[in-house]
Amino acid sequence: MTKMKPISKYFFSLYLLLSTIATFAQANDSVVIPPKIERYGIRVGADLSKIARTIYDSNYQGLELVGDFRLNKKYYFAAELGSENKTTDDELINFKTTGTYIKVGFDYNAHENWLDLENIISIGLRYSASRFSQKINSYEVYNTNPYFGAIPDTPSGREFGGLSAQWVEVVAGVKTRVFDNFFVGFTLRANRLVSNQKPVGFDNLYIPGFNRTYDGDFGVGFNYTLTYFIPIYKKKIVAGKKL
Amino acid sequence: MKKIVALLLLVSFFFAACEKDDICDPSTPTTPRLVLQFYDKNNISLTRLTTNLKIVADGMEDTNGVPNANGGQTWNDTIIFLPLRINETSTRFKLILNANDNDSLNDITDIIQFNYTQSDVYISRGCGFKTLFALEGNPLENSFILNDTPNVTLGNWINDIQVLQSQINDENEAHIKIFF
Repeated sequence: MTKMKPISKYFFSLYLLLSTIATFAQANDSVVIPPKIERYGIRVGADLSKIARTIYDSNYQGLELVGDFRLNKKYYFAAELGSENKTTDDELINFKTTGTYIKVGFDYNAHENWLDLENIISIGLRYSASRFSQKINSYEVYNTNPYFGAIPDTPSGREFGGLSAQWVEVVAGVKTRVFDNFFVGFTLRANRLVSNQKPVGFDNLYIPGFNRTYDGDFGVGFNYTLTYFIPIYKKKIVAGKKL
Repeated sequence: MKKIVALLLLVSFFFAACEKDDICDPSTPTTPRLVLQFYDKNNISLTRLTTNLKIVADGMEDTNGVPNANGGQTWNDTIIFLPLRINETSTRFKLILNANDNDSLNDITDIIQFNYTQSDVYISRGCGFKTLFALEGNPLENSFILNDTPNVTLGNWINDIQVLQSQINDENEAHIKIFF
């Protein structure tokens, strides 16, 4: 056997020392980890941003109730139910949209929680439908030849009832428990219209739940929710075992 | 986490896909003007150029004529465009031939009143509404009255007036034919 060089001797002893610590730590862990308990239940609440806007914006009244139900470790059934009454004052048209909507779908929690934390970072899908009416309050006639000067806004009052629209939403959201069983959440939504029943002689420039429409079929939305979690049952997750 | 990044990318694509729809494209047809085309009374198939035709609407100063395409006050063209009053059912114009030259003695004036009904039609968010007109909208009224005399088509310089198109929905074709 050849004689070890001093430098390799040093590394060898370091390796020995580290491996001892590692074994020691491992042995310790398997004893300390408690079984993870995950709670299942219903979360119900409301969109605070719509309530706040109802208070500060005199042209807006809206309420959105939200809820979800945990199906398994990762998936939640989720739904929103809302009502909006909004007067939009565009540059050329002033109109009022009144209606209700429902959104049903699921959220997938992509976040792995430590210990008993219950945070959620999710993506989800919703199928949404709205029934509403539009009323034109006043409008401006577009005239590129202002020889006779500016024309005052024309009052209208024309109403279009019984309108409907359906769309799909891709939802990105976060939720965190703030205290007790109260959660605060925020979602961003990308919407795409599936059907849009437009009034004859006007357009759905705003759809309750979908928000402002654009030339294409796309739209965006968000909400900021406060929800209360009602626990129904618990599931014990055995350490090391994945569901 | 990768899924969320992918989703954010998707959302940004959605934003990129949104077109600017709150500006009215100048090529969009909006409220049309009345299009008058001038013909030669001696050869009715030929169009005729107006000579320094100045058009002043009722209630406007004589110095404030209907501007031509270049913003000038007189029209030397075979086709002229007249804006109609949107919030009234008639517009009267003074048509002054040979205006704006040094010789005021050769100015000849005819007065035409156009009667119509209007309807406002929705265009888009950016363009709002446009007003369309229908001459002869009221059956009791003539679609035009020359020099305040109903059912007359011979004026001081105008020889004949014909209505080609009583629905004024766009400016693509002439609505009124005038022979002089």
